[in-house]
Amino acid sequence: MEYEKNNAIKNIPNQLLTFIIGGEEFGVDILSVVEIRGWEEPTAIPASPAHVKGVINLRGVIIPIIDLRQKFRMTDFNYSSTTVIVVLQMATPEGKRINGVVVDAISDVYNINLNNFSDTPDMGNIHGKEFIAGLINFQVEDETKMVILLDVEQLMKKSETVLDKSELTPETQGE
Amino acid sequence: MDIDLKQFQQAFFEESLELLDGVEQTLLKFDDSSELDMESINQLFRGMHSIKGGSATFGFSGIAEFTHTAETYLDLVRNNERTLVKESVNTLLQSVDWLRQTIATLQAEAEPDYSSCLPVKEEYNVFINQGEPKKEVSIPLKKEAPATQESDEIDLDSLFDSMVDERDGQVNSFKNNFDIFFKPHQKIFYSGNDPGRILKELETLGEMSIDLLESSIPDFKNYEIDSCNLAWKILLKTNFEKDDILKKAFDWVLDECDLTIENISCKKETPPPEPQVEAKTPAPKKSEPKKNSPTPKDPSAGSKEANSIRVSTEKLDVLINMVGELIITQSMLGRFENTIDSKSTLNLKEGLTRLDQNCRELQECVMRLRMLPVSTVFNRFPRMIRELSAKIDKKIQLKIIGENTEMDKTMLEKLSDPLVHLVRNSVDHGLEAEHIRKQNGKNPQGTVTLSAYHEGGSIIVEITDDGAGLNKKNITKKAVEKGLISENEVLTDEQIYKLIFQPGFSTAAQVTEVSGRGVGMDVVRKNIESLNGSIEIKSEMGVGTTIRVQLPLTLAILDGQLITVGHEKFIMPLISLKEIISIKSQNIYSVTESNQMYHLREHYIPIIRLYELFGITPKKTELENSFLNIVEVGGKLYGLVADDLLTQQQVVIKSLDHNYRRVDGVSGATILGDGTVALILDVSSLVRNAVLKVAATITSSFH
Amino acid sequence: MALILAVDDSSSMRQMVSFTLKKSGFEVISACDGLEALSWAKTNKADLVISDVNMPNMDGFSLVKELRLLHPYKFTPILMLTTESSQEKKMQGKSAGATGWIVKPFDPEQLINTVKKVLEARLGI
Repeated sequence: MEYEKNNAIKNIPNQLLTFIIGGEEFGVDILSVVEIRGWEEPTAIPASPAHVKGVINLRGVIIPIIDLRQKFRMTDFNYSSTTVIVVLQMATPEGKRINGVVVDAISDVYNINLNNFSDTPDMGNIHGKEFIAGLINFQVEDETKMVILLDVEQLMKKSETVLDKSELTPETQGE
Repeated sequence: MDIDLKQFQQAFFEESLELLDGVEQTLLKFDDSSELDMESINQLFRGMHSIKGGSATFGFSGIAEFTHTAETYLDLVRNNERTLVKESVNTLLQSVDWLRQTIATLQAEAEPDYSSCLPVKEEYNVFINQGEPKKEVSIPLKKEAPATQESDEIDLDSLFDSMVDERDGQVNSFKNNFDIFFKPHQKIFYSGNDPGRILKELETLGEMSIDLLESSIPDFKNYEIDSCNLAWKILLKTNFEKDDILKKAFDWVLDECDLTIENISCKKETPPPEPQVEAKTPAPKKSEPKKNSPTPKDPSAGSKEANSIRVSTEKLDVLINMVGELIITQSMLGRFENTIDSKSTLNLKEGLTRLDQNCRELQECVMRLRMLPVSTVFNRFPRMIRELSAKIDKKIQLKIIGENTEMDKTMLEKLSDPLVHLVRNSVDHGLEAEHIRKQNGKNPQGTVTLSAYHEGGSIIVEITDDGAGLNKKNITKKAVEKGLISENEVLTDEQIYKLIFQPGFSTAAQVTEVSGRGVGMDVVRKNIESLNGSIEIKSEMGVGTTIRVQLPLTLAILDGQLITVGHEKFIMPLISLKEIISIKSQNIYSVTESNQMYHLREHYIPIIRLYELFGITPKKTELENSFLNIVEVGGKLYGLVADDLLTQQQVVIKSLDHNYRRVDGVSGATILGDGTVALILDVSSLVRNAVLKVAATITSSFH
Repeated sequence: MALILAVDDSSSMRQMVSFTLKKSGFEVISACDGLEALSWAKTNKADLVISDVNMPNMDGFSLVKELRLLHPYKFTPILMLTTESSQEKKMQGKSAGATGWIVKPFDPEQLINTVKKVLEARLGI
């Protein structure tokens, strides 16, 4: 299925929290980050897509945990001592929605401003494209960094939590 | 300073809606045989008056104008110049509807159609203008009293002359020049008025020079400390007119002073002093009510507000959440109780027990904050019955019992629509037409009874009618027609009645405007089950029908049985659980490989393996010594298999939906004492899924 | 600080009046009907009373009459809030003992100005 995504990122965040997933550096607007927690085994939910690991208790609120590595069809992932959960929030008409995403490790916090921002290049065809808002290039010291910006809104969309038939046999899927 | 009144608008809307509820309730008490007492009429008047005042203040002139008309009519009624009749009560009821609608539109920040009230307004005008011509309300006349200048005053003329001379020499930039004589009456202080304030006010109107007329001061012996014996002569240059001066400075005291205001800016000749302006105090109105009703004031008409405070439901929810957390923490501590073993920790144990008690009490109190009496929902029924009765021409009496029984606010709101449907059904299909009732020796007036009461840990709401009862033959016939049951099936009465909850089921010969489309009962049952409740029917042909709805006291807390399936823990709600038994393989009968039944006493109960439904690896697949949780869904028994039974406990229900979504077979989640999450089983949807699965694999009917 | 007693059975009115006056630096205490107001007044002294006319339990006019019987309130300014600009109602208020009136609907400015004028003269504020 062709997934067309507009090149232009709607809102380029002022501050990015970046983390590593499968060797790639991803980032989110720091304003959407609630907290970072150590990995804990979630309670499984029956008939949920493979990337939804289950739910955990976040100070009295039940939140789902999404393993993006699984969503992005990355191979070879595990839960190590650096594995953490980044808890994200988003405002919706029904109130705040909170989800946790599993990442390999936290990377850094960057400020993006007119001075260091380069561009948002076109993405190729990657799995899990629907969760990606775009790519950001920016200058850090003398380097140009490229960070994949996550689309938090898409991540939290209810439709994403429904079992997708194509997910039933992940091994047979390939790009 | 620009004060934004919008913040008070919401309060005004809520308040008005409450007032309208009160007005409606009172109006419904009126019928041909009993008129309303004076206090009730006053309540009606005040309701409209209050809404008028508030709507004018907040700029909703459309509402202000409409309520003004209603108020005008009600004013006549309370002064005994008009009497309430059925037609005008209907007009008032319609007004309540229009106002409610308009306020709802405003609350939604949309623009209401103010012209839609014109027909109702017209009806008021008819009531207002008909009958005896309006009695002449004494309108105060500005009496032309002869000018009275105090003769023992200083010679004003000479004083005046000297001032005129002064004036001549000045550049007069003001339009008018007034000569004001102001003598407050002696008792002016008693009204809280202060001549000093008035003089100060005058000063702001232009350029003023003032003289105290000392001859008015009595000598010391006769001096009364609280009487005013001063008079002043004031010359005021101003651009204001005389009327402005009167209004701005003297408005409040016109009836308690001697006042003359002369415009002397035209220098021709001393114009004759203006006639004194005096406001006439009208004769006191005759206001003895026709009937001096000794009936005690309706408590709902009084001010409930004095002892209550408005709290937003969000605040309550936060509080309830926190209490839930407290309970979890407390139970976590409680788990360690058993690992502590020493005399000195006896105090600790005692402390923990007390903490447990405190927490439970706190929780109960907090839960009660969200409770409202069911009357808030029951109160819409008298009106509904009245209208239905008129529409379908059946005489109906509505009885309400236990209206003060309290229920969680959210549950109450969700119960409202199903209740309406059930009552409509009773009225439409349950109660027979008058002539049939007479034929059968029944009271031609049918009775529908709504009752609510607490029983054990639940709330019971019952709708009873003394109508024809459910016709078992018709129901079974229809069910066979629809293929829901086979012809030869033998069902208990209860099972037959439960058939009417199937989608699309309606034995009504005709679809009436009121009901009969068959979409109702299915939705009603779903709604009740979504509240973790259950619904039952009892009926007797020729006698009547009772529908019994059982609901838990609150949506937030559940009594549950903790079970394990594989490595996962689940909560089985006790309200759904009939029995738990340890499975003995000799009682298992296999209809087919995947379709097994358990023989328990006289029942054959279908076995549902939870691990299969959930895709969990079980501890074992052999059922011997596993546990069968027996539940009842749709009138039939089913058994859900669990590996182990743990504790029975009260759990706080957490939403899965808010951050994730609704999950089939799961009604929510809870946090256990160890901090982990356990899913709460939605028994009815689990069973239905299982049934569908099996039905898909076998061809014969399954039950 | 001047203390004002505001009496009205409409809570949105009370809120608005209270808010408006407090913003101008006055202290405000509210009551929802004449009875509540009178009960408070028996043991407390307000510098000014603002009262609605139509209220349950005890209406505005009765409240004024009762207040005037209390020694501390003999000369206290009492203003009636009335939606009716009829002379009759105004005079009824006066004969009950009221100082004056404020006609509804009023805007906050009007209220503040009137209150200031009345209290200024007495308390020099």
